[in-house]
Amino acid sequence: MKMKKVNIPQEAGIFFVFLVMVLIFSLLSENFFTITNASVLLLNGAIIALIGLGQTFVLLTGGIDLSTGANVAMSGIIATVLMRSGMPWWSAAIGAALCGSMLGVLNGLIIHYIEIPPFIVTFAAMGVASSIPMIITRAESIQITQERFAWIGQGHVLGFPVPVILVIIAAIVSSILLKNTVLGTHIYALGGNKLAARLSGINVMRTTVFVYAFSGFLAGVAGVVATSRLNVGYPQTGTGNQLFYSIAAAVVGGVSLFGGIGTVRGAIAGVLLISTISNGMNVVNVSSYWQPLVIGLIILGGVSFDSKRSSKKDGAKSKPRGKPQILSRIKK
Amino acid sequence: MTKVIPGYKKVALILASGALLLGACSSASDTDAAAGDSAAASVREGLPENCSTATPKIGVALPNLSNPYYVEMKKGVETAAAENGFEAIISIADDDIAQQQSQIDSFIQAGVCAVYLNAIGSEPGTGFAVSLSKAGIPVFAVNVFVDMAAVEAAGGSVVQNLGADQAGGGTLSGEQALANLGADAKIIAGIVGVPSNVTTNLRDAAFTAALTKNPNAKVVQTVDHEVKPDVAQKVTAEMLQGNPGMNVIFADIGPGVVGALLAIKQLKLEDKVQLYGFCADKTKIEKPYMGCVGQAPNQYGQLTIAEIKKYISGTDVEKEVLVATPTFNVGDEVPANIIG
Repeated sequence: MKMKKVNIPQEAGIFFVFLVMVLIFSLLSENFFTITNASVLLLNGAIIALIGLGQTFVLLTGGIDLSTGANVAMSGIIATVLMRSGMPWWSAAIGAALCGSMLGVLNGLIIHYIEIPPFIVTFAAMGVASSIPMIITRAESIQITQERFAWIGQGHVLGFPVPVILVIIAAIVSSILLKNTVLGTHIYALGGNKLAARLSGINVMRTTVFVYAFSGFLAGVAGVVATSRLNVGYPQTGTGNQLFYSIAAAVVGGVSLFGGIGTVRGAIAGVLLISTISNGMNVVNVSSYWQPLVIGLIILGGVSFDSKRSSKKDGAKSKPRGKPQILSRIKK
Repeated sequence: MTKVIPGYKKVALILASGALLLGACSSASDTDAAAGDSAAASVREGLPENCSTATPKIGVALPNLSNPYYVEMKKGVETAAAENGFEAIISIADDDIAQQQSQIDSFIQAGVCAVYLNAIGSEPGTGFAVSLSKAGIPVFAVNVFVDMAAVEAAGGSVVQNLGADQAGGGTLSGEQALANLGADAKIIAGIVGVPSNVTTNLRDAAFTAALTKNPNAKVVQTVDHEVKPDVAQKVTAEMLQGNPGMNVIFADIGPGVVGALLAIKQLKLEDKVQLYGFCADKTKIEKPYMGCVGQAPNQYGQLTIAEIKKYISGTDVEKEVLVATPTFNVGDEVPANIIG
């Protein structure tokens, strides 16, 4: 009798690693597996999750967005400045997120029309976006004038922290966009094979600009959340390890650096894993000298796995029975 | 009767008049230069040529501008440089030693009159001081002291080390905690620091040593806040999760205090955890932020420029200037120029 083949989701592996890490940290410290620490972990992971989701869209097209961390700093300061100019807190927050999105639009347009590699364009944009808050504030922190702005980063709805709710909304929207819309198919197609995508009539410019704009928008939202959590406009908020962790989270979550492969589910699993390790190492008192080493090894493992998988995929493509992911998606 | 001046006397008179005129012009020219540059009025021998120009250039090496401390210091330097007729060439290293090294090389290439050196670390600072002084440029180390003996052993020299007593500040914070909680109270402390930074490590070590006066006190963990309040908030919250009994936190730089304070409030531990540290910018000292140690970076900047001026005009300066760190407790108003 033939056994029925069980279809295990691609992200199962990373979820398994996540569970193993939770188990290890729980065994090492009784203070790890608690509700308050779960809340701390999710809150601290919110920024990485938001920019990681945007990064996922960009990576799926085969690009990369290095400007997201600086965009967090820029958007946070813009929100602060808009509030000081008299704008209500909620419209300042929306305005800041839209400014973040504008940076993404510029990235996308330059990448498409001038045909400069995304790495270079977004690296330059990182420099620009990190300078803007320094120029505006002359490197000084700015007090937030409207107390209600703190609700975005510190408030709760039905017991859930607002930043976590924003991440859930962003994840649902991202998932719907990628799985249930034509745009999502175009994003995968662009990452799978840009030339084939263009020849099959996909609007490459619109798709490219969209992914960078979306990444910029979520970085803008992250900037608003981070600034609201601090309740002070600080020109270097978000310029720490957040960019590094967000790319790492997406990649270890199965989003390919080479484009065309990955899911929102996987990226969120990656964010959970990176946030758990980052949180757990402080909870169990791992020396800060060791922490980057551990995270680095995990990222190296994820990227190596991705690289191996990609080379296998390329091998499969050359064989007649190979079936590239985009074809299977279009058939569906 | 007309007095006839003999020919040779005429020549002498013309020469004397010319000499007087030239002297007057020369003195006027000196006065003009002194109006913008008192340092150039009388210059110590052996200094770079640039020290004799109308506006001598001072190379200023600062570690970063992410810490409000250095923002204040930069302001002090700029103010004092303008007042003393110097041109300050300010370079920010973004906490990158290689970048600071190349900035020091640029100062040597530019032949600046003197260098205001706030090195990223004491050891790299020693190397920078050796290179600069071998190029004939006087070095004034600020904030991060340079090991003078090591520099001299390598054939260089440092004119002056000026700054706050870093270790003294850590000790004062520890003593504040002991005074508030009781000399024999049970204290479980955590440090929100920057383990890669030599200066803050001095503060942390002194804080830890101060607590040893109480046998019931111990420091159980140090986390890295990377001089960013958002990171400080994250790592402090995680440290408090891992140590439910923790009742004292020492944050060794202002941005660390800001983040640690938010983390304590986020976890609603205001009644349980006390925060001490180096004063945070624009932050009131109120529970759970129980006290801070202040520094005046703006003043250090101004003082050092004044010392440079004294030195190049020939006056000897002290080899080491330690500026006291004032302490502030709940209810105290921290002056605007005080920052940690």
